[in-house]
Amino acid sequence: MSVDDLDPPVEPELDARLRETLSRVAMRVGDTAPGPGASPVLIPASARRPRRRRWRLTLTVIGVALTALLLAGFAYLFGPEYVTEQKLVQLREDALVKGGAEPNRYWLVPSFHTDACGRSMPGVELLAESDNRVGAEWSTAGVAYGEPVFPTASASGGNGVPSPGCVRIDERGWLNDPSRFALTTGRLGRHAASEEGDWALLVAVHPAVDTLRVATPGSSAHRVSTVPRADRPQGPRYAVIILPATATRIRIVLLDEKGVPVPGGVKNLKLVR
Amino acid sequence: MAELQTDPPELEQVYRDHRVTLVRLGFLLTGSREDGEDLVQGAFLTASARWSEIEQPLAYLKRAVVNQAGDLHKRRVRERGRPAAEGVTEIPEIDEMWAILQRLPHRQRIVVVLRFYEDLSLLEIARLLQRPPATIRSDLRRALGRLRKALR
Repeated sequence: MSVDDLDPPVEPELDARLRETLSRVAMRVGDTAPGPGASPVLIPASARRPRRRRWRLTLTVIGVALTALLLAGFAYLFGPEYVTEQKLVQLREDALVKGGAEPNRYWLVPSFHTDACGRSMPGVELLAESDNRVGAEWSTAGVAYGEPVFPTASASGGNGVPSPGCVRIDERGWLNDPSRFALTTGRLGRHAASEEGDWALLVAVHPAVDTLRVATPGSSAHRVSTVPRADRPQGPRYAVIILPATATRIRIVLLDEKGVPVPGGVKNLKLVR
Repeated sequence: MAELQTDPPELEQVYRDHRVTLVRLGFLLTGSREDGEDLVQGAFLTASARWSEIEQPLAYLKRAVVNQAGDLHKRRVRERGRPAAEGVTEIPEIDEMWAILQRLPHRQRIVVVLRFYEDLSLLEIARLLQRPPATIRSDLRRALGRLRKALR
């Protein structure tokens, strides 16, 4: 006698009711309908779990720059101007996203630095409390949406070699493709080179991307809302993703306002120590 | 530093074709559409790491969704107790049955969903869950007993 022969008998009425119930309930999940009560999480993991480790934002300069370029985005690091109380207060008030708990708070703020040509930088910067004490040098990392256009020396009579400094960000091509995104990776940790800290990922996305669905192996996925800069409410949107230090892979799905993945919006990233 | 990796085209196609199907399964297992979506993302993430080794992608993804639903359920219970049943269809008899199903022990609910929604046999459920067929039968028998009792 096989196990199938031992299939518990089910009255036809109960069988039918079960099938109908499950089928009807399942059909409530449509192709485009976002879930009821789906509450995009503005502040991801770090704000939802206790943090035992003191952290500070640390970034590998070359790594960040290479990452940004490899992903066709634009990332940057800032220093060495000095932190003032007045500026800190203003930045916190203007923050798009805030997270963490004192003394390990962080803020995603509109970029407040200028480039070598004195022009305001586009995009946003991640400001970590423990790294930006009054009197210390600013230590932030930023990300901008669009194709970086580097001036070349030829423009000033040189040999066409890209020159640093007055980089311009061209959003036009990216705005035709909601799957384009820029990313800056860094570490939140006590020691810059220790690689013990949590990952901090700054993301810049198309204005149509409302939410990021973030998944890492071994943990359930979560959502991170994207937010625009207040001065460009219809412009590119930004988010910060905090991941455990042990994360080695991440899958990010770019979702529109209906919760539907944008075409080409599935990104697999390998986090390289 | 991060490196961008592109999904194999086949995985993208499976994602497009079966995402909704898998989210529905996740929804039935968790009672939450959001959790269902999360389970599916987690399943695809796991699958993407070993895509070339997977012979039956849909079966693999379903198994991943079911397994992750179990993990999620344990976490949820630890965090906030058993989640409340939620009416979803505005059809009383459907909502009543759905609420009863959500009150089943998680293992039993999984078996019921796989048996009556996925229409899998006991052996297929046993293979998917990697549990003895006799255990699956026992779970199903107990679940049916609870359902009959609740519907009296």
